[in-house]
Parts: sequence; C-alpha cells; structure tokens
Amino acid sequence: MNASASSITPANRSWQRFKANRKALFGLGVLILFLLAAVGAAQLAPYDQLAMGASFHPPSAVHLLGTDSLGEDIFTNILYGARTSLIVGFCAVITSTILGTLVGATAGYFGGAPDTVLMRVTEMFQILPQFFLAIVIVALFGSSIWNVILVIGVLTWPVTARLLRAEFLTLRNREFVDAARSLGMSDFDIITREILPNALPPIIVNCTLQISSAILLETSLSFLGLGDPNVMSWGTMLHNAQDFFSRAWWMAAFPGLALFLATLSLNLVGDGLNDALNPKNI
Amino acid sequence: MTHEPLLQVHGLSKHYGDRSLFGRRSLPVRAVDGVDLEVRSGETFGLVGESGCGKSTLGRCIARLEDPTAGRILFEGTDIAALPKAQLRQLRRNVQVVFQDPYASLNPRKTVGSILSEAFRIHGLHPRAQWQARVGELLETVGLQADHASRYPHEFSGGQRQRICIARALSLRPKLIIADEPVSALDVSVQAQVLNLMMSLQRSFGLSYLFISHDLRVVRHITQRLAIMYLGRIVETGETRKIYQAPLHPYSKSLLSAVPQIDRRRNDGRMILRGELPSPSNPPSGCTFHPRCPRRGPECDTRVPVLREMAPGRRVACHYPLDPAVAPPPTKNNLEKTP
Repeated sequence: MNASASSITPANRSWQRFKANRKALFGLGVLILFLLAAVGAAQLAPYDQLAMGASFHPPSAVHLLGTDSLGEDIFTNILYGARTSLIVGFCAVITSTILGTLVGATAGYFGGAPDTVLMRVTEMFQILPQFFLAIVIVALFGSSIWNVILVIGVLTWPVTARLLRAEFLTLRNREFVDAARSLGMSDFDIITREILPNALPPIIVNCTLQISSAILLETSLSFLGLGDPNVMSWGTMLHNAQDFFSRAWWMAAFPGLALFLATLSLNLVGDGLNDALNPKNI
Repeated sequence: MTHEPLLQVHGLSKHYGDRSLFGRRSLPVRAVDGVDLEVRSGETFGLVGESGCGKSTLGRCIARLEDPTAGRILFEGTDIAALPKAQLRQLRRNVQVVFQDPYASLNPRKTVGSILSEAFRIHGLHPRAQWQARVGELLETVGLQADHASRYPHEFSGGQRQRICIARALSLRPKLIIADEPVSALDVSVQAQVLNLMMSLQRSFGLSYLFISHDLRVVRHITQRLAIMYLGRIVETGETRKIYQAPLHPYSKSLLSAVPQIDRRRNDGRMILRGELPSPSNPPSGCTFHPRCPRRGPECDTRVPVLREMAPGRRVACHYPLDPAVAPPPTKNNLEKTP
C-alpha cells in the first residue's frame, strides 16, 4: 500500500466494499440506466410523447413495446414515466430527509424536553394511515406532481427522524464529541461537523430504500387515478391497462416490469450500501 | 516551578438524577460529593481511585463538560463553575482534556489535519494560510510527522492516536490539561513513551496536569502531589512521595499495598479489602469507607470525617488515621498489622 501522500479515505474503503458486492453493482447498473432514461427521455424516445398511432399494436420492431388503447408508444411512455418516478422519488426523499434530519438531530443531540416534544410529534405522524392520508390530501389539494412529492415527503420523515435520533443518542457521548466540546465548538458545529458525518451511513441506506417506497406510493396514487394528469407515470399506464388486460398484455406488463426493476435496483443498492457503510453488520 | 494555585476547587459536587418525571424524587447518585483540591501551576496533580469513585466526573466538571451541582471552581481566581456555556470560551483556551480511549476520541471521518486545525477555526487563532504549517508543528511537537496531517485516524496505532489527542489539546496552548486515564488503554511499552512525552511537554510549555488514573505506579512516576478518592470524596491528599512512604488513610494504605512489589519483603504489610465499592446513590452512613475498613471505630458509622490537616499540605479524612501520633481505636476489629 502506498504509504506516502495518498491516504485511504473512509469513502474510499466503502466503495471498495461496495464494488465487491455483485448484486449491489447490478442494482447500481439498472439504476443508472433508469437515470439515463429519465434524463434523456426526450432524446431517447422513438416517438413524441403525444404522438398517436394504431391502437393495441403488439410489441414489434416499429413499436418496441407495443402501443396502448390511444395508440401511444409504450416504450416512450415508460421513458417519460421513469422521469416522473425518479423526480417524485428523489424530491420526496430529499424533503423527508431534510425534515427528518432537522427533527432527529435536534431531538437526539439536545435530549430532555426538546426530545420528548419532538418525538411525540413524530409518533403522531407515524400513526397516521399514510396511504389514505395521501389520497385525502391529493383529492383535496389537487394531484399536481409537487403536491404528491410534498405529501410523500411529509408522511415519510418520521422514520428518518427516529433513525437519526438513535444515532445521535449514541454518538453525542463519544469522546471525540466531548473533545470538540472542550475545544469550544458550538452545538451547531458539533452537530454538523462531528456527529452528522458519522450518523450518515444508516441515513443514506434509508434514503435509498425510501426512494423506492416513494416511487411505489406515487405509482399507487396514479394507479387509482389520483396522479398528476399532466405527466406520464407508470401508475397511470397500469391504470389505463386495467380494462384491456386480456386484449393487450403488454400495456400492463412493461410498466409493471419497469416498476419492478426500479424498486429492485434501489433495494439492491440500499442493501449494498448498508454492507459497505456499516461493515460490522456483515 | 512556581507554587501559585492555578486551579482551586471548593466543595464541588455532582449529583445525578435529582429530579424525575412526575415529581417523584429518586435517590441521587452522588458521583462527586464536596471535593476540595488545588492544582499549582507547573505541577502534575494526581487523582487516584477505584473505577466508579467519581474521579472522571470530577475531571469532566472542571473542564465544564458536566455542570457541577454545587461548589466553586476557581481558575486563576475566576469562578468558572457557574459560568453559562456561552462564556466558557476563555476557559476552553486554558483548560483542555485528553481522554482515555484514543480510538474513540478522534472523529473517524476527519483527517488528522482537520482535527488539529479545528481549534484554530473555532477561536480564529491563525490566518487560514498558516494552519497547515501550525498543524505540522503540532504533529512534530508530539513526535509525529507533519505529512501525517493528510491521514485518517484509523491509519494510526493507539499510541500515535494518543499523541494526536495530546497535539489537539496543545493546539490552544492551554495552561492546564486534564488527562483522564491517558495511558490506561495503551500497551505498557507505549505508556512509557506517552508519559515521557507528556513530561517533556510540561517542561517546554509550562503545563500543569490534572492526572486522573487508577494506575498507582504511573501516578508515582509522574505526579508531585495527589488526592485519593473514595466514593466521590477525597480521603487523603498530599505530596506523592510522602503518601507512598506512609499513607495515613486505611483506604490509601490498602490501595498502595495492592501494587505488586518486586521486593518480596515489602509485601508483608499487605492489606486486602473485603467487600465491594458501595453504591454512590446509597452510600454508607458516617465515613463511607467504614464497612470495608479494618480500623473502624465506634464513631465511624455515625460521624462523617472531614479532611483535616495532619502535616503541612497533608490532609486526611479519617477518625483514626494511620499515624503513630494518634492512638488506634479501641476495638476488636483492629486487623491492621503494625509495621
């Protein structure tokens, strides 16, 4: 090993462990394909998003995955659906992670009364029946994609908050935190510079898994016809496929397969990250 | 060496668990109970006792990592016991801590350079451009190399890590370093190196140490004066040399006689304690040591002994100290062998 200037960073060691995990690499590969599809949907799609051709065209060289009841190309819709799913997944998880981090870090670091109050609030959110609340809010405030993101974000932060609080409870009494305190570091700096970087691994893993459940939740809402009507979603495609299942199996099969692969890849990456970032769990 | 008191502690107490939810009062744990001590500038003052006697809590209170329940802590004459957290900056620059576990006391996600420059950032000490050079100097002061700054803590051995911790404590040029069992987690061969480093740093920077330890051989080697703690209280204090020659408190005697001696004849007067350390939430009445004391007399379980001066600078909290001038108590429990 090179003992001079170059040093093995903790991130570097984690990447070495992640690389050794085949399932995780497969997941990462699939995930990258979906990301490319989402980013380059407009360039990759063989047809215009609104172009209509022959209805119920089965998969062929002309329409790779067939067409739906309106004659829209399924492959094109899946590419645009990937964009919606990933936007919803990432944005909802960013929202919930910010909320959960704020609450969890404050509760775990300060303890005492702030902890009690914040954890009771967290529990109140946890006991809400998430899916039905999501339906109610989307039905009341409209089903724009940003509403969906906000609803999912606001409903899923308690998990992050609890995880982070637990991490903070163990880390705040570690000696390196005491050392920082005795150097005179402010509470805010101790939280952000000393504790948070060490509390991140389980949060990162949790984020990955939450993205897949956010995608599933968005798909479920669209499947019930509560998705944003202005954007294409795999849930909407499945919703449309219901009536034609015996006539055009490809209408349901391919969006379903895309959903399956997306959530599977996220879960594989999450498991891989878990093993790579917390090697003691292996 | 000067003899002005750098740090004076008066009646310091730290009790845990005074209040509980729903107003029910549980018995408080008296981790530290009315401790007086004095550290002079330039000296190494030892704080000795069994695990759980409150010596670490006392150290943490002085560093204000814990808020003391009662008492005064005078640092260069200023009471720091009651200072609100926001006004502790000056104290932080004067008092630093070195912890026991060098594996837990360095943030694993930061490079050594960023760990050591943290103090500069917090206190705005040097221009940012100089940080790297200053960190290099610090590392060389503690016997490491300047280019170690780019590495992470996991790349170092325990002894090297403790050197980094010492460098971090030095980065603010403090007057007092509270060393909480700084070598207990290290191999014996490395212990000596780290202790020698601490002693040479003391000479070059004029440091004072409050050296907390349960290792009596280390304490004898490094301290000039010491205090022996039992169940949150100081039972004996004085010059290290004199305490080792002739301990006055029965507890001190038993602690010192527990140190293995190579010279076999000196093992004759060993005093082995019976029983366990009592719970600090429900300490025995009177002298807290009386259930285990071989010299206990009639008043030991009723009257609390106060620290009284037996000789200049030599104080002991015992009704029947091991002193030829004081008659042993009239009791059949007198198991003590007269030397």
